[in-house]
Amino acid sequence: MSIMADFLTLHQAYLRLNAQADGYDEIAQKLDGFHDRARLTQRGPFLGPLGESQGRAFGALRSASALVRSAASECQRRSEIVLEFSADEKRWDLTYGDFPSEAAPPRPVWPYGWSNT
Amino acid sequence: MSDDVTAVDIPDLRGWAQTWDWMSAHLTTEQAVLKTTLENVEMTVWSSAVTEVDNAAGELLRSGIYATFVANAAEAADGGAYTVDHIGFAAGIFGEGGALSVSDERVYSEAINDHDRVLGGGGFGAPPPRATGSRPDAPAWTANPAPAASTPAERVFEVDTADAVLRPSVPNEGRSLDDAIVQDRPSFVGPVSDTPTVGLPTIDQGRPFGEDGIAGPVLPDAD
Repeated sequence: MSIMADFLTLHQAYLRLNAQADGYDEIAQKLDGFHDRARLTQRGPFLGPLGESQGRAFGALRSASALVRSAASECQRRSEIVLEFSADEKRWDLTYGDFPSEAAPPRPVWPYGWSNT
Repeated sequence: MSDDVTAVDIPDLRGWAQTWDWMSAHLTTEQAVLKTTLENVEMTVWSSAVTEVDNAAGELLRSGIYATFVANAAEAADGGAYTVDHIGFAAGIFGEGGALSVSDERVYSEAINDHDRVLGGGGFGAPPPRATGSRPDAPAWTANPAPAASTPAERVFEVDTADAVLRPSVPNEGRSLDDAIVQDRPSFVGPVSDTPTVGLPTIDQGRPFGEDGIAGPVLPDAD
């Protein structure tokens, strides 16, 4: 897999993850304040457990959204790094591609622990 | 209304349960997509997000089960006059529930969305839902004895070949085209003086083409 393909994969993941986080937030927003709205039409001991269940779902969605947005940000950061590295490689090729190896500085080497191949 | 009075709006509860069940199913799908996406970009360090989505999906299903349970309990109460105790009973059974198996989730999800439910069973918990959900059983034949099924031989459509018209007749079949046209074309048979044109007004055929530049027939006046 080329570096450019990785950039596209990361960029698409960034878009997809952000869209998913938006979806989690949207559902969480619908659940928010459920207990108060429920009390407009319902009364009884069952509202307590129901409200707690809704609260847990709300919390899980907010947590998922925050985590997924972090992952999306990391995807964006990595995609920019991949793009910059790709540009460095091309610049080196244009500048030193015809030089004898001993006369040229070392070709850029991928320095990160995560895969780009 | 004080808090020690139970008031249940069953359509609301069922509507909420169905919405939450839909959300739960949607999130379960989303969870699988999220897992694949993170794996593709080697970011499984964020896999706790997948767990949180799973938690949310499970909790929403749980909410839906609970709301349906309460609605069923209210509907099943004697004379429709549900009581706090009955609701409390439903809540108690629900409270004993733990993690749901996949098959349980399917059963509960079907029950939540079952518009043909049979009342009287109390909904979830007591008695437990059938393996196929809470839909009523298919109607059974009660006559004794039931009519025997027909055999393939009995279902054969019989044709009386003596009276059957095997194919439609074709006019002029077997004759040449000329013979058919001559014989079938309408024709006047009789003396010339009796031709159908006798008695009809004459038609001035006009002057020959080219004279005075007038051509074509001149139609008689209407009178």
